[in-house]
Amino acid sequence: MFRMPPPALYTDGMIHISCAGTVQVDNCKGILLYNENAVELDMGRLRLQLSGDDLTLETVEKGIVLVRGRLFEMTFFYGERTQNPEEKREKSSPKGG
Amino acid sequence: MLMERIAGWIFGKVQFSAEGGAYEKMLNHCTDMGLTLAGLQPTALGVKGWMPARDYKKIHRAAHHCHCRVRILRRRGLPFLLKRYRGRWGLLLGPALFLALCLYFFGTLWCVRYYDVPWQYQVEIDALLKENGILPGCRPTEQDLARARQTILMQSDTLADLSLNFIKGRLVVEVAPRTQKPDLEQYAPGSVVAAKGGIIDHLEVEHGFAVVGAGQRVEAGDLLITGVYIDEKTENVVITPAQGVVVARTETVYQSAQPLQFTAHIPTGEVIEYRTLIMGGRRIPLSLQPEEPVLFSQEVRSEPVSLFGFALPAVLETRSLYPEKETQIQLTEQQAAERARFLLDRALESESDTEEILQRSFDGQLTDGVFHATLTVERLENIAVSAF
Repeated sequence: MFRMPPPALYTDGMIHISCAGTVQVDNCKGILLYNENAVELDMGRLRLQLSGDDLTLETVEKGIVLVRGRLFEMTFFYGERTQNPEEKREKSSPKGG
Repeated sequence: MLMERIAGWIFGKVQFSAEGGAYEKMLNHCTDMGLTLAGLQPTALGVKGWMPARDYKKIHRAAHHCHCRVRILRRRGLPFLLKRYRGRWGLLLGPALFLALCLYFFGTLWCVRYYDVPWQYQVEIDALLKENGILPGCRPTEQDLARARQTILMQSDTLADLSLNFIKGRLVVEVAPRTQKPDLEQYAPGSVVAAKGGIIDHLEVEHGFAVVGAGQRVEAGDLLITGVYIDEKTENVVITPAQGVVVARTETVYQSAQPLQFTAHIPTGEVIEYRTLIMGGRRIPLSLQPEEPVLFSQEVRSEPVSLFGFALPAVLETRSLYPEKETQIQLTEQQAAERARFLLDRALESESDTEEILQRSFDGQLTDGVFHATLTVERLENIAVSAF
């Protein structure tokens, strides 16, 4: 009678965005990149990159990452990650540019 | 959030920094191990953040895999605070003991303070408060204070009002003395009569008119000074106050009967002391309580307890028992006469001033094993009393 949500809804990656400058990512597989301007997270089939200023990871637990700061952009990447994290860090860092 | 902060402070937390290598991998390793990291901020060479102190050793394993260098920047929490005092627990014991005492003595009476109260009232009120159980170390309730106030006001002849305010361990006492009767009332119309019989020596009339003269004999109740008379010129009745001093030569007889054989309670010379500490509303006996003797007299003393000159809200009560024994005493006639004379002299001294005695005579005789003594005292005294 009622259509139930798909079983993978609560096991796939989920993003909660607050306009106060907080983003909570659930079911995250890991952190791929972190500096004050960018946080890249492994969400399984895709990658999520949060860009902004003064980004801090308020809480990092198993599967949960809480990011706070002045967020400007969220970018989703599909496919395998080929770039070396250290190279990508240099590329995304303002000092590196 | 607040509970997390409290828990973090109680169990301790450290701020770590991870530099060099792939520190993102290290963070992933940490989360895989079940660690919780908080407040992560990027640094020039890596990242820094907070974690529970108990998990810090685990982070090294993850850092080794990722070629990171991990070190502690800051330590926070009770374990690190206590670590400073390891081996010097006495330094912590003092404040802890002080805190425990403050909590235990909460609501306890520490001292009694008199606010602008004359000294004679302080002594009187202090004794009455002790009688009512209000002393340092007790926990007085509102009902106790109200009851003590009522009792003190009923027992005191000189207090019009009394306030007992228990504020932060102090009992502040304020009094309002009773106002003396106005002088006008003392000179109310009336008469002065004789309190006892005697021969008048001299009179000093202040108000009214004397109706007796020096050398005249009067009996108890006779009119001495009157405040009512008829003006001869106007024939009106004039009413004035009557007051004065009428000194008369009086004779008083004191009698005493002293049996030659009687039973007396003689102290054995032994002293038994019980000490009780009254603290926090409780009575803590400091010595074992043996059986009380059958016959005894006792004395109870209370003294405040102080430690290095610092007064504590406690009182040490010492109860001294003086056991007595019954002894049959057999007196000779002369001893009985001396004892009877001693008792009569004591009665005389307690009753009036012995300096005005003109003459005294002691007489006695032994009848059926009892010495009957009589002391006749002749003296000068004021016999004037007001009669309204």
